[in-house]
Amino acid sequence: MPQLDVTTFAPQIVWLVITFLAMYFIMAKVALPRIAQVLDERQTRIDDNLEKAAALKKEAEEAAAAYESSLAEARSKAQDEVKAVIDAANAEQAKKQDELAAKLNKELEAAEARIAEAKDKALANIKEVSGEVAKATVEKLSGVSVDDAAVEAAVANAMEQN
Amino acid sequence: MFRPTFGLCVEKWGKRLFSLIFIPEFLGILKMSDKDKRSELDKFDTRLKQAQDNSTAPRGLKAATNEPPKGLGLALRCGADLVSGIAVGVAIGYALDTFVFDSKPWLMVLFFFLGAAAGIMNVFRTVQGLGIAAGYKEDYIERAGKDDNLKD
Amino acid sequence: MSNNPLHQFTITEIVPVEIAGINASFTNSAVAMVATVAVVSIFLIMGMGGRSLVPGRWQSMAELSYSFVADMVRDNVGNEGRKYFPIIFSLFMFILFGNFLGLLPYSFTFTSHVAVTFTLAMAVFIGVTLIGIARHGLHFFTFFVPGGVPAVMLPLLVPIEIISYLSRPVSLSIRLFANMTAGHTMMKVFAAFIVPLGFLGGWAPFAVDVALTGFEFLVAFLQAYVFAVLTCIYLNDSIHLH
Repeated sequence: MPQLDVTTFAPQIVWLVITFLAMYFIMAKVALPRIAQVLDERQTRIDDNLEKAAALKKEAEEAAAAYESSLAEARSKAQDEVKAVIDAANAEQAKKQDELAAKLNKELEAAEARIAEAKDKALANIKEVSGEVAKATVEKLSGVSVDDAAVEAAVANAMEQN
Repeated sequence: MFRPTFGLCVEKWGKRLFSLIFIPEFLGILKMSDKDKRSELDKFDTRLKQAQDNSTAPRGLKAATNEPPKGLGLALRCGADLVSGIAVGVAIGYALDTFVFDSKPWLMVLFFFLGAAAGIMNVFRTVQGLGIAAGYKEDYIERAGKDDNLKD
Repeated sequence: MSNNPLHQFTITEIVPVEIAGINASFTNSAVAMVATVAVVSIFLIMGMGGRSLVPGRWQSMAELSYSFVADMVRDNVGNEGRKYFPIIFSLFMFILFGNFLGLLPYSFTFTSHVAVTFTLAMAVFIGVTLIGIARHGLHFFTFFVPGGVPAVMLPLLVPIEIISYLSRPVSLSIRLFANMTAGHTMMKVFAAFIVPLGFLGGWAPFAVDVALTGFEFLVAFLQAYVFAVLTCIYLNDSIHLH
């Protein structure tokens, strides 16, 4: 077995040491730093981009939130306005109604006053007319002319009784 | 030049007309696109999370750790472990016999058995996936016990 | 060409050199080693030549090998292993490409020689032991005293543990050497049957050889990987002790 030939050990080990040291220095000083640099660069780039994406996402979310809040605000504002308009209309209507009611009341009062006046007048007329009618009736029936004062007293008496 | 412009014009005004005529529908469309925007944002969110996870997770092939080796690898490793334990034991025994005590061949025999024990221990540890460590390690033993429980 | 399947492992001097009474001749083994270093260096340095953000084929292979070993070191040793990453990377690539280049026809596999593998394993063993002693001082030797064992057993167990520890470089070197030697010898044995069996019968050993070649690539990788992983595990043991 050639592997157990002791005379070949020395050159193998010598060259192993030489080549492996060379390998180690090439790797440690040249090759690995390069790869590490590229990997680091890529990682930072990726991290940067991810951060940027996260920031943009946040911005978008904020914009969406702002949009929503402004939408809600506008909605509530619109509702307020509608309410105000309705309130104003209601108020005006109430006012008009009140006015109308007041006017009607006034007219009612006037009418009532007029009616009362008419009634008084009518009552007065009734007294007169009934006196005359009573006087004429008495004169026609009995042929006696009646004293005006007596008739009046009798009518007043009768009306009292009624 | 004229035709596409005209077409565009028609399209644009058509759309406006459409939106004017079908205001409720138009509002519906607006609402839907709003919802779409939200879901788009959510989708973006999940994708962003995924990307972040990917970037923090270790890249490259995953190196197996302390896992019990399988198949041929196991066989080759166990053979080497056993043989090397015996070889080292015999070598130590032989060296002590020859250079220190002049007690040939008793120490070699003793160390043959010690080496065999060391070799078997090596194999045992390899098979148990306990690492190829010297020394009983408390946590290794605990872990092995846990593994046994899991198997049961 | 000899038909002896072990002939392929013969070391032939190309340039006889002698330094201070030591035979340091440039042999076919040395050629393979130099070629390995050259190929690995070219692969990594040329592959990373572009240093592009989005890697090409060669660059991603170089990066993959880097992160493969980096993950291995991190998983097995932890953050303290960062310092030793270049040496483990060099070991892994040296053995891996030594194994791969040895699979080329007419080339020489220097990892099939016990002198080479034992030197590498001893270097790892001594280095790891020195790191352990430097980090833990005399406390390092408690490594050989198993915990949770009755004191009566210690005179028996401590020698076993010491032998177990000392057998590490032996098993490390024998494993690599035996795998490479066995694989190449087997291929050669089957190859020797191809021509004598003629046009009709030669296909069987030829097919076996084809299968073995694929298998040997797997073994070449596996052995380099095992060597590097065990180095990591030994390093972890001596850094963290127990």
